[in-house]
Amino acid sequence: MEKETVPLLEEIIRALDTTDIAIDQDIIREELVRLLEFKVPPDEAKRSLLKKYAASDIQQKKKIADIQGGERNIEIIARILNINLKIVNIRGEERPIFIGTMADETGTISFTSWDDFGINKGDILKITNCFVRIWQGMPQINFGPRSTVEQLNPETTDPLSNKELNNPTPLAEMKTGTSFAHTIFRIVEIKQQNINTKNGPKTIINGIGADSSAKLPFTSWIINPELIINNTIEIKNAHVRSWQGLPTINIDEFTTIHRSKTVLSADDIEEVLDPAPVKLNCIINRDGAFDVIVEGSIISIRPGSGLIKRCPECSRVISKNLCRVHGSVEGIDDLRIKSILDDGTGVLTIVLDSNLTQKVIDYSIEKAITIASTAMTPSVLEDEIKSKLLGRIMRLRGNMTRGEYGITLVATDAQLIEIDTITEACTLIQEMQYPILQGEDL
Amino acid sequence: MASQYTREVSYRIFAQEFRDSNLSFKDSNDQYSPQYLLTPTGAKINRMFIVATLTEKEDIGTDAEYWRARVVDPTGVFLIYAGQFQPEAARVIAEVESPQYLAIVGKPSTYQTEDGTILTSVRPENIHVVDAATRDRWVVETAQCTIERINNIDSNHPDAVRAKEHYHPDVSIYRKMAQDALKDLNSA
Repeated sequence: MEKETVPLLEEIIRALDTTDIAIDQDIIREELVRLLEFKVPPDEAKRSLLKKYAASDIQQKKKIADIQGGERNIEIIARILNINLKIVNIRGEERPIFIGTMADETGTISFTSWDDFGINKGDILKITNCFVRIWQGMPQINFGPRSTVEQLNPETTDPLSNKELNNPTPLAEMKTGTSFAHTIFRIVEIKQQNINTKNGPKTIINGIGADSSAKLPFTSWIINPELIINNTIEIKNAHVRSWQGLPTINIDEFTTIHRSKTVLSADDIEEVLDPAPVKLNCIINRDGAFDVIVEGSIISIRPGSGLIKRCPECSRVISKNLCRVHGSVEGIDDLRIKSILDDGTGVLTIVLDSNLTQKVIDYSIEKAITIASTAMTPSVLEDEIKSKLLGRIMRLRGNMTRGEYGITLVATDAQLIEIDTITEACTLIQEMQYPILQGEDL
Repeated sequence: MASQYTREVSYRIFAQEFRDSNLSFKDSNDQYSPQYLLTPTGAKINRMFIVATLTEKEDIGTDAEYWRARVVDPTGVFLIYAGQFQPEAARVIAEVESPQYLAIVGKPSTYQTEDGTILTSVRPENIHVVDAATRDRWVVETAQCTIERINNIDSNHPDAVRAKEHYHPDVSIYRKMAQDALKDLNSA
């Protein structure tokens, strides 16, 4: 027994030696022997001791772009882009936490602070002993009582200050998590909104910007005279966050806004405002696509389509009038379709709400309820939807998002389209005529 | 971000081109990585969408039901095999009377005979009865997709390059096939 432990112990001590941690060899030996006595395999025992004595003390400096999720004990230097107070209920106890976004020169990330460190928006902070959790599919920095938060001098250490700005990025290429976005767009929609923040009520500006490549929503946390409809503006140092699954450009006090020298006219963005159908392979690699039109065949209807019941409190889909949050409730009838749309170049999940479902299957919800109660089962609607839609070609308009459940387009409009097959066929034959003759000549 | 599963696209392929296909492979050695079939015009397919006419069906199973169906498009025949692992599809085949228009989403599969010939067939994921208009639309769409692939056969897209290397296809045959399929619509 003792013979086997010695080399293993040496290995462990050697590994710990490199970390400048004061260790007591006797304690480690004792614990190692004990683990082995409990029939823990040697490798596992070594791992567990290394973790216990080393990992918890090694700080790893990380840049935001390198964070993947699951890291522990990292140190990060970043600027706080925004921070909000949130009261959460933890085991029956109300506790304030702070959530927000931080950025360094490599990217942005959202964070949760489980303690009040007196952090303010715009602070440059060195935060130690953070851990990273995956929250709603994205990594998120967490820190709390065991972390230290140190204010750095913004003049000398701002991680974003000497970031070189590249050429403006087209809106279609905006990636969620970019912390220093530089882009030019024309404002096609804009409105003010009053919200409640940590520091009381605030007016923000929501809008939609367009260039010749795409449309994207933006949010401005500041008021700026250039932010008016039909202005073409050039913004630098904005950050791109995912909002409801779509990349959204965030403008704050660190963002510079100028009226752009190159003006995008209404003609320049016409195609984007009144979009033609796009092939799915053009958009499914993006982080999200705002207000696009797609066409494809309905190749599968997913379970959960048809007549469903929702909780009156939270709108969750429920079964047997039992909401998983609100318990026994009187469900509200609703119709929806979840289906797979495939155009031969790409594939995505589409979701149609009650109105659009009624439109495409040509049923009122009342009729659907009657049919379901006559057949004594709501699933009869799912079969009805299948027989009406499968194999048909549908055109949809809506926002495409990339989330936990894959790529989804929530439709704002949908219709089955009829193709005049004879005309289409003739056009295609005519287009082909020339190359075929050429081929035969050879 | 965690690597995300993406659903395989369903390709539109005419029966003639599907029958001519014999190059089946995986992109990696991982047992879960998808099996692909490369067609002569360079479609790398793991899933396909067919709308065609059921002409014959036969239960060839010994113990459990195992259906073989012949499904015909303007260019040839697809063989569809559905057994206990495709319960929904098998049920549809069992219930429909031929001839009938069917929309089929399925996976290509290949079988090598003793003399080395590779036969292709389709393992359906789901099958539904559709109308004649839907079938005609499929023919147009499939012709479009086929022509597009033919037009790109000389590009440097890896699938096109590989298809050319393996099949040395005479694409005028497939161009003619697509054209005949379209003409067929007009004469009907």
